[in-house]
Amino acid sequence: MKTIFFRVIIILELIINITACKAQQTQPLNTNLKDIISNSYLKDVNNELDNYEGNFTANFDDKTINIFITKELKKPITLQTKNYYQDVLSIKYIVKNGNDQVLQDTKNMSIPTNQTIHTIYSFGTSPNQNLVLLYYGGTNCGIGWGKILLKKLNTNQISWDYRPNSSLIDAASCPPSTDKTVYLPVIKDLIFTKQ
Amino acid sequence: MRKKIILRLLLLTVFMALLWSCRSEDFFQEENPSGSSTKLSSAKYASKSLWKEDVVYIEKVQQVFLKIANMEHVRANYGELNWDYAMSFGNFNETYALVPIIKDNKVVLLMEAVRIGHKLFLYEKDSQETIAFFNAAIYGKVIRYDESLSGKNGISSKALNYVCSTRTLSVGCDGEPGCVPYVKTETVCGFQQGGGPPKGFDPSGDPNLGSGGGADDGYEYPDPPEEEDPCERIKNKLTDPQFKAKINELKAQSTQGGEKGVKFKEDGTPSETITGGDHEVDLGDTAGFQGGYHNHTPTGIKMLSPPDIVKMLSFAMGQPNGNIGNGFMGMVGSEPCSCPGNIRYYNYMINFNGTAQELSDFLYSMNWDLNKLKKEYQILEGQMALDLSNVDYLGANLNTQGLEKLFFETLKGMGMEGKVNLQKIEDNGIVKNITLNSSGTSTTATPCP
Repeated sequence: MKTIFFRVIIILELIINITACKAQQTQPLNTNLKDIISNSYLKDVNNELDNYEGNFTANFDDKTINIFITKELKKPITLQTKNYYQDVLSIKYIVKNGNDQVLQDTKNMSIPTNQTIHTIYSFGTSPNQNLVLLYYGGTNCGIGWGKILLKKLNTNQISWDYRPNSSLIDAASCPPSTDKTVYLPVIKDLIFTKQ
Repeated sequence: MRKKIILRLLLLTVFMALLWSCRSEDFFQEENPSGSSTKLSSAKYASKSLWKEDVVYIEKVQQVFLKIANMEHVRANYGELNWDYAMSFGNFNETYALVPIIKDNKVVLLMEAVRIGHKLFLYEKDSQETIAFFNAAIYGKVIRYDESLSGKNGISSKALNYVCSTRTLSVGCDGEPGCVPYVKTETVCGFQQGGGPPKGFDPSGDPNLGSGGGADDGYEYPDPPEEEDPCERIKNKLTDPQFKAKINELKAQSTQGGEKGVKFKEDGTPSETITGGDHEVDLGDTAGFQGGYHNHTPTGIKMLSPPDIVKMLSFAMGQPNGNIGNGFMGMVGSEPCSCPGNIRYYNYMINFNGTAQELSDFLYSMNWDLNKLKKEYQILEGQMALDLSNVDYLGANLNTQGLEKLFFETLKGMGMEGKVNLQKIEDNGIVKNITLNSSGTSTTATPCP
C-alpha cells in the first residue's frame, strides 16, 4: 500500500516536472475559455489594450468617477481547472460625491493577488466593435459583479457600459451591516474623458 | 416382499404425519412473540419497530402479499412473516422494506420488498448480520436504540435512489446469570444488487405467478406514489394562484431594477416577498421550504448563475423523505424588445437530478469558490456574446439559445453535467424541458404535455 502511494507521488512529480519544462505556448488574446491550454500565454500581440491606458473621469448622478487604467503583462490566472497567463487591463477607481468626499477608493486599497472582489480586469477584446471586455468582481460580498464594456471613441474619450448581475447573499457570509452600495455607475454609454 | 414395502411405506407416512402435526402445533405455540393466537403472516399490521417505518408501504406490501400468498406454502418453505417488525430503514417513499420471517421463535430469513414504479418485487435476504440484528430487535431486551441517516446509492439509476440508515441497538440483561449485554449495529442502504441476480421470494408456490426474482415481472403495486416527473412537479405550481401572483410580482420587479425574492413551502404557501437591495437579496434559511425564486435585474444575465445553482442544492438537501428532486430555484429576468408588449421575459427554474450522495458531495465537499465561479460564468457570457450564434445581433444580450448554452457550460464547469434539470416557463404557462444537444452547440426545448 505504502509503495503504491510512493509510486503515485513519484509519477505525479514526474508529470509536474515534464509539464513545467514544456515550452510555453502563446495563444491569441481572445481565446475562448474552453480552448485555453494550461500554462499558455494569451498575449496582446497587436497591442490592442494599449489604446485604453490612462486616467479618465466622468460625472454621473452627482458623483465624480475617476478610473485608472493600466496594462499588466502576463498576469497569472486560474479559471476552471486551468492556470494560464494573459495580458490584461486593470482598472482601479475612486468615486467621490458632490462634496468631494471619497465614497469608494480601490486605487489605494490593498487587494490580495487572488481576490476578485473590488478588482476589474479585462478578459478580452472585440476589435470590430472597438471594445474591451472586463470583469468586475463586485463591491463588498461580491455585490454588483458583472461585465464592463469600454468602447474607444477617440484618443481622449471612452464610453462606459457596466452590467451588474444579481446576487443571492446570506447573512452568514455577508453580515447585514455591510455596505452593499455599488458605487460604480450602473449605466450604458457614459463618456469618460482622459485627464 | 411387496407387502413389506407397503407396510414400511405406510409406517413412514404415519411417522411423517405425526412429525408434521407436532411441527404445526409448535408453530401455534411459538411463532408469535406478541402472544396473539392468529396466524402472524396475515395478522393486521401495526408497527412495533423501535424506529419510524414506512407504514404506508409495509401495509400495502402486506396487502399484495396476502393476495398472492399460499400460506401453507409460505409456512412450509419459509416460516411466518412478522409484519409488525418490518423495517424500511429510513426510506419513506414506498420503495423498500425488510420483513422478518420467523421459525421456532427466531428470525431465520428476511423478505426484501422492493418497489420500482408500479411493480413490487420480493426477494430473499439471508444476510446473517441483518438477521441477527432483527433477532436482537424483536427478542432482545433493548435498553437503547439509535439511528443515523445518510444519502447513498449503489446503483446509478435515479429510480433506485435509497437512503442509508445505520441503526444501533443496545441489548441489556435482566440480571439473568451468564447474560452478556451487547450492542448491534446494522446499516442498510435499500436494495443493493451484489454479484448475480437476487434470489426471488415466492409466496405462491405457483410457477405461473411471478416470484419477483430475476427476470420476473414483479407484482402489481396499488397506487404507487407519483413519480418525480419534472413536468408534473411544476404543473401543480403553475396552477397555484399564490405561486402565479408571486412570480408576476418578480416579473414586474425585473423590469425596474432592484432585487426581490420569495420562497415556497411544499404545499405551495409562499413566504412574504423579500425585498433586497439594488443588486442583491438574502433569501434567508432554506429549511422548511421547497424552493425559491428571485428576479434578475435589467442589466444582469437572464439565467441562473452559480450562486443560484448552489442555493438550489441547499433547497434540495432540505427536502423531506429524500425527495431531493423537489427542491428548486428559479429566476425571472426581462429585457426590452421590439416584440408584443415591448418586454421579453425569461423565467427559468432548476432542480437537482442526481443521487443523494452526489448532492451531498456537491453541497458539502466541493468548497465552491463562488467568486471564481461567477467570474467564469461572466467571462463565458462575455465571450459567447461575441459569437453570432448566441446573440441576435452583435452587441445584443445572449438570446434564449445562448443563455441556455451558458447554463449548461456553467454546469459542466462545476462538474454537474446532467445533474440539474433546466425548465423554461413561457408567459403563456407552457413549460419546456431544456436539454443540451449532444454536439453541445444548441439546446432543445421539449414542451411538457
